[in-house]
Amino acid sequence: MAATVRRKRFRWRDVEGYLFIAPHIVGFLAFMLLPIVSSMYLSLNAWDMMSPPRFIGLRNFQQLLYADRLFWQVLGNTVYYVVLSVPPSVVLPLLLAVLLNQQVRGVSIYRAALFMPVVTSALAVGLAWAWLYDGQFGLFNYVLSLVGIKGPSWLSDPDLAMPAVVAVGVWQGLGYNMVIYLAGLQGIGQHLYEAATIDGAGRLRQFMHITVPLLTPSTFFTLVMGVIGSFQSFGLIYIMTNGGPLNSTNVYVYYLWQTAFGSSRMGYAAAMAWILAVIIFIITAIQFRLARTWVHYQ
Amino acid sequence: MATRNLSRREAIRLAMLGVAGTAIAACAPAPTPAPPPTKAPAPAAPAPTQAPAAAPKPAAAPTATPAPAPATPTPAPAKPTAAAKPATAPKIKIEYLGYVDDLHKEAWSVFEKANPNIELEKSVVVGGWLDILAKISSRLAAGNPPDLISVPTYGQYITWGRKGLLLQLDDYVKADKEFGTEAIPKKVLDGYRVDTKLYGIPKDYVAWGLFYNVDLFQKAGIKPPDDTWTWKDVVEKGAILKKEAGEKTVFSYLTPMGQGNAEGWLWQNGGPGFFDREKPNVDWQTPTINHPKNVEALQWLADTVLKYKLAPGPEALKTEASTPRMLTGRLSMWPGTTINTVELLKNEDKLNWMVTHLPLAYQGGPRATMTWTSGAAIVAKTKYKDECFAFLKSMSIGEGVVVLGRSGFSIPAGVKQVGAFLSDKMKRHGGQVFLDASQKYDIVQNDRLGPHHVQLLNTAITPNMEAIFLGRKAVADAVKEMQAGMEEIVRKPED
Repeated sequence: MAATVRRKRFRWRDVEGYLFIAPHIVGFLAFMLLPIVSSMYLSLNAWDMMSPPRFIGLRNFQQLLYADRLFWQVLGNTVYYVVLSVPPSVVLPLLLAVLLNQQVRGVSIYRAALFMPVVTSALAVGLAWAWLYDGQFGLFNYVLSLVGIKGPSWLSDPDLAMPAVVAVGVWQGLGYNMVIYLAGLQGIGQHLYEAATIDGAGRLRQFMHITVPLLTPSTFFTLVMGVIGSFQSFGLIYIMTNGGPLNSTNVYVYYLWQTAFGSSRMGYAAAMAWILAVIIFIITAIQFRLARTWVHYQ
Repeated sequence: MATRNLSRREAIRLAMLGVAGTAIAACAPAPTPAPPPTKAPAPAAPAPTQAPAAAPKPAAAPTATPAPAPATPTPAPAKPTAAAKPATAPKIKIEYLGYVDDLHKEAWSVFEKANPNIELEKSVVVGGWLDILAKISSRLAAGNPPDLISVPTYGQYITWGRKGLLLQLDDYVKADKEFGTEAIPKKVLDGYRVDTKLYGIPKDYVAWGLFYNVDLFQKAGIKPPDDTWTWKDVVEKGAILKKEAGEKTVFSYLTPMGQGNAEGWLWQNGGPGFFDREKPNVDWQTPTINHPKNVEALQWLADTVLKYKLAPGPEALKTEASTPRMLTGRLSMWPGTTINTVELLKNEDKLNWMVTHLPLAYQGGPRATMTWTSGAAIVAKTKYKDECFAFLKSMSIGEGVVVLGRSGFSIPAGVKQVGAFLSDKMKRHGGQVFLDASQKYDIVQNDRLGPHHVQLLNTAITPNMEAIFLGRKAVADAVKEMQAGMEEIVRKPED
C-alpha cells in the first residue's frame, strides 16, 4: 500500500496550545536560557561591563582553580555551610511535621507561625537575628547572663560566626520543609499504623518503620533542595556578616557577587558561576544515583 | 441586531490576541521626548579628548545649556547661578545617583533653590560605597546612566574615566572664572584625576585629630594631650587612664584598625603605607606594605589592643561601637575625623571634649593625616552638562558645600568655603587642628588603592588586618600575606 502523505491542516487548536504555554516559553527563553548561554560565553571572556568582552579562552577557570587562594577558602566555607545546615534542615522539619500532624487545637496557628519565616525577607530576618546575637544587648547573651555565663561575640568570632548564621538559615527554612513533610504524612495510609498497632508496634517503632521509610521521597526532595540552596546561600551572609570576620563566612555566592559587582570582573564571576553549577550538578547526580537505594515510593 | 454568545474557546482566543497586541504595542519604542522648550541652543560640551581650544562656555553662562545645539548662543541674563533659568520655564530633571542622607539633601536644596528650573532627582542606593558603585556600574553598563554620580577617587571610578563614560572636566574648570586654578587645593583636586585628566570634583574631605575627654584627664591628674605627644605618651598615660570595670571599662584609646583608618599611622612612622603615594605618578603596581616601618607601626597599633589593652578590640567594638563609649565617658582619648564632631557637637552638654593633633610616632617624626574625600562626576551621556557642572560647583566651591562644612561633617573642598567648617563651637573645641592637619602636615593623602581598590580590600587587606587585631596572626605573617595577596591582584593581567 502506497503511503499517502497528507499535509497537516492548519488548526487553531494547535496554535492555542502554543499560545497557552507562550508566556512560560518566552520567560524561559528570556530569563533562563539566554542568561545561561550568555554566562557561558562570558566565562570565556574578560569583561568589566564598560567595554566589549575580550575573549581569553579558559584563563578565568585556570586562574580560579590554580591562582586564586580565596576561591578555595570560600569553597571550603561553603561546604562547611552545607554540612552544617543540611542535616538539621532535613531532620528538624520532619519532627515538627510529625508533631503538627496531630489533631490538636490551634494546629493551623502553629503551622502558620512556623511558616512565617519562610515568607519573611532575608533582610528583616538577618537584621532581627543580628540583634538577637548582639554581644552586649542581644537576647541570647542576656539569657546566658541569667545563669552566670558570659556570652560570646557570636558574629565577630571567626569560629562562631558561621554556625550562628547557619542557625538562622535553618530556622528560616524550617517551615518550608515542614510543609513538604506534612503533605507526605497526609499520604500515608492510616491502615498501616492500625496494622502495626495490632502487631504490637509502639509509637517509636511505627515512626521508624512506617513514617520514616514512607517519607523518603519527601526527605529526598528536601535533601536535594537543601544542598542546592545551601550552596547558593547569600542573603543572610550579606546582611549579617559581610563575609567576615577573617573571611570565615565568605561563601561562594557572596564572593561571586563581590567579584562581579565590587570588582567589575563579570567574566571571572561567570566562570565562578559555572564551576558552582558543575559542583551542584555532580552532587545532585550522586544524590539521585544513591536515591535508588534508600528512597521508597509506595 | 442579532447577538451571539462567545464560546469559551473563542473568548480565550480573543483574549490572547488582545494580550499579544498589547504586548507588541508596549514593546514599541517610546516617542523621543521633545527637548525642553526653554532650552537655549548652545555649543555642545567638549568630548573628553577635545583640545582646550574647544572649551565650552563656562557654566556661569546660563545659555550654555546642553544638547540640540544649532545656531548662535543666546546672550543670557546674569542669574543667581550658572544654570538658572526663569522660574516659569519647565523644570529640567537631573538624576543624581549615589550617597544620600539628610545633611546632603539639605546641601543640595541650596542648589535647587538657586536653580528653580532644575529638579534634582535623588536616586537612593541602600548600602555602603560598594553597593553605590555596583549600582552605578550597572546603570552605566546598561546604557541607562543617571546624569550625576557620587564618586570616590579609586576603583571603578578610574575605569569609568578611562572608558570615557564620564565627562572630562578640565576644560570646564579652566573656563570657569570662579573655579580658577586655586579654588580647590591642588592635592585634593588631583585625587580625582585619572591619568592626568579630571573627571570628578571633590565636594569635601576629612582630616584626623586626637579627641579627648577633658574630665577624665582632669580626674586622673594628667595634663591633656598636645602637639608634643608621641605614641610613647599614649601608652604611658593610657595605662593610667584605663579603668577596668567589665562592660563599663573606661578604655584610654581607640585603635584605628582598617586600611582607611590605620594607614595614616604607618605614614607617621615613616612608612610608605600600602602604596607609596608620595611618589609622583604612583602606578598602583607596587605594593609596599611589607616595608619595615609599616610593620613597626602595625605592631604598635596591635599592641595598644592586645598587649597594653588600652583600646577595645574588634569583637568588643562590634558589641558596642565607639560613639556610645565616647558619649558615656568610657573613652579617655580617641583618634577620629571631622565626621565624629557632628555627634559630639550635638552632645556638648553630655561630654566635655576637645580635639588636638594626632600624637607623633616619635619626636621629630613626620606629621601625617589620612583624608577621605568624595565628590561627584558628570556622566558623559547626559544632556544637561552645564546644569550638572553648576551642581558640581555648588557642592565644591559654592553654597551647597558650605552646609556640609557648617555641620562639622567635613571640610569643604573649596578654599573660600573652608571657613564654614570653623564655626565658633568648633573653634572652642580645638577644631582648628583639622584645618592644620589638612593644610600643614608633612603627609596628607587619601585612602585610595588604585583601580583594584575594592578587590585589594576584600581579599588581601581586610581579612589580614582583622586577623592582626583579633590576635589570630602575628603582624609579620599578616603583612607577608597582605603583600603577596596584593601583588597577586595588581600584577595579574586584567580579566
